[in-house]
Amino acid sequence: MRSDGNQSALAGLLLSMPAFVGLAAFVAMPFLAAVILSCTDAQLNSPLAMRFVGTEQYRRLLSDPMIRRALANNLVFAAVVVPVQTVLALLLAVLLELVPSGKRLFRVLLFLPVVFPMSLIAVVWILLYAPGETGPMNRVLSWLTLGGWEPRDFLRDPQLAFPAIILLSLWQGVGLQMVILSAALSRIPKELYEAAAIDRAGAFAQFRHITLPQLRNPLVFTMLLTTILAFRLFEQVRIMTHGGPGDATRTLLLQAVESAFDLQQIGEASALSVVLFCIVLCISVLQQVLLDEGRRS
Amino acid sequence: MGQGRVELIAVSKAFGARSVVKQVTLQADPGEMLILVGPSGCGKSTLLRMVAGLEQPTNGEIRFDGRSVLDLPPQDRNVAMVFQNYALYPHMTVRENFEFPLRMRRVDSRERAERVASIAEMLALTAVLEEKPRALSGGQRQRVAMGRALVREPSVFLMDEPLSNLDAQLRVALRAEIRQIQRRLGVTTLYVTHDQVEAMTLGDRVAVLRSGELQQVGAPQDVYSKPANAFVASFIGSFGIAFYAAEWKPEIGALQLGTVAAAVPDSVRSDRGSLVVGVRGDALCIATSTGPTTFLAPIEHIELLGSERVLYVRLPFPLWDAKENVAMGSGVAGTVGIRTASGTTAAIGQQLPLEVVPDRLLFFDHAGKALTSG
Ligand SMILES: Nc1ncnc2c1ncn2[C@@H]1O[C@H](COP(=O)(O)OP(=O)(O)OP(=O)(O)O)[C@@H](O)[C@H]1O
Ligand SMILES: [Mg+2]
Repeated sequence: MRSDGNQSALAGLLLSMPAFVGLAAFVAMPFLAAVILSCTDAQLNSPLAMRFVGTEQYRRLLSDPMIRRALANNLVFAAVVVPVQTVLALLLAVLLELVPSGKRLFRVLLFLPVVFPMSLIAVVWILLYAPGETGPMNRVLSWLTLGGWEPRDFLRDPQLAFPAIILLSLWQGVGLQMVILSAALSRIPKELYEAAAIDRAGAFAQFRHITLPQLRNPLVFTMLLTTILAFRLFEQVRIMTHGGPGDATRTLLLQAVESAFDLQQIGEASALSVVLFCIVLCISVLQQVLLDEGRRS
Repeated sequence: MGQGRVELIAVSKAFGARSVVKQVTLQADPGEMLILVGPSGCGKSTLLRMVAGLEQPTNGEIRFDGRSVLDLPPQDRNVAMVFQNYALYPHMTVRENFEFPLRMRRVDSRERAERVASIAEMLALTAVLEEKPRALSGGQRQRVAMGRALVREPSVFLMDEPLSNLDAQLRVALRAEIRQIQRRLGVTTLYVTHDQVEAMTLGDRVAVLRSGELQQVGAPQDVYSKPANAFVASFIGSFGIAFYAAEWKPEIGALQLGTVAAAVPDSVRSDRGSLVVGVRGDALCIATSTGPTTFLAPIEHIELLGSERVLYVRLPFPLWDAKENVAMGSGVAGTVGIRTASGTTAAIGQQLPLEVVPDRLLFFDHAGKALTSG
């Protein structure tokens, strides 16, 4: 028995070697490199030699108003998108259950934005957000307000640029969350609802006492996934606004990319990446803990 | 009280083209315990689910106290149901499972706690009240399902094989408990079971179903001693029944059953000549002397039931070709179990001298329908 166990442990180790090597080569090594670089003042275009500066880069990050704004934007984005998108996705998933036929078609339609590359979506939404009376979004708003809406240039408006980014991100992101929740929803055994109905639970009580608790794990999973994605907000702002106007749509990842590739500030970019990595890591750990707890109970 | 009459009037249910319940008309009186029995797949669960409102009948009418409930959702029918597959709430503890129906009825917390405690005690679940269903054994889960129904005071109980997963001892104990509670509350109960012993001992009346059709309804004793047809006769009764083709012989004024001539009641002296005789163990007795009415039958199988010993014998009579008219009953096919005191010496293969007790015989025509004998 014992040697059997040892043998299968060995086999397991051997079989997971390729994955480990991959992880080491493409995740651990770059991360280590980033940690090391973040303690230097490395600049690609500088003739000066690279110097070790300790935690200087991190201290600079904390005091940089642009970075603070970027972090604030990421936090606002997460604070808005996570709850709104979760509620929307849940609503869509529940409505989808009520659709008598063509459930699959609806699911695919709602999932399409997830499949499209963000670059394509961004271009389409630039057109939707076109300034002037003829811009589709302006038209819709004008129609909704019975003509009370003054046409605005969404992506160049300091007040509207970030909400515009949030709206498009919601539209793009809700599909993935919806599909995960919808799949979980259709796995809830029918007889739980039957038992609840006999116990006199109405539609709302059934949702609260059966559906929500049964969806706990997928909800935790998708909410934290969306939080992680919120901290990786990048493509939309890079393509649509370049972080502007002003710093209205600046985000941490955009800042990291810009300092690395536009300004060649490798040290600063590395420090930012490390910070981002730590944020994402914390959320992932939280997710694991919550999911494990859910599984145990 | 005096409430809770349940009527099914010509109720049918089809799933697609498949007819599962056919024209069932059945009534449970207020406070009555009505047992539904029948082989697997005969539509017992479907019938209960229609009464609960989980399934809409294709045809027919269901009434509680004379009022149609077909347009009432399950929430408004005030029934409590024990599901065949339990349907416990997996994310709730046993206590929360018990409390849920009470919460939905806005029972205050003090009374909730009292009722839950007494139900848990009765079902021997006090120790696991804070566990989730996943941590329980099959039998414990079944008792939780039971408790979730009993904790309420509904106008109708619907129980779908609530004791099927319990060991014999617990089953007997809970059977008695259910009966007591049901009597005390005076709640009309429809109780589904596979187990014909349960059917015979538990209910006021028994309804026998077969492929969606109602075969017979009556007091357990009547269904046992006056089965409406060969199917019911074969389904009810513990120790097997065998059916033989027999001939009415006017010239000797008796029934020719193989080599034996049996005297039979006047009412079955049919003019049809050929008929079917159903023989259960209690229609046989061990003969003390040999004569024209005695015969020898080999013992094929012996079952020891503590104080009793059941000898399964094969009678030397021509078997009736029953086609699908009978249920796959208990015991070895074609044999009949005779109960004897456990002290009796008997061995497999031994030839047992037997005699028939004519007034315990059951008579049917060749279609399996009972010939009325009284
Ligand atoms: N939702 C459904 N769709 C299609 N067929 C069904 C459905 N529910 C039940 N049936 C069929 O109806 C028949 C009767 O089922 P039912 O569950 O009522 O039988 P039962 O008497 O309770 O059997 P058992 O004793 O095995 O529980 C079965 O043949 C089953 O396949
Ligand atoms: Mg059933």
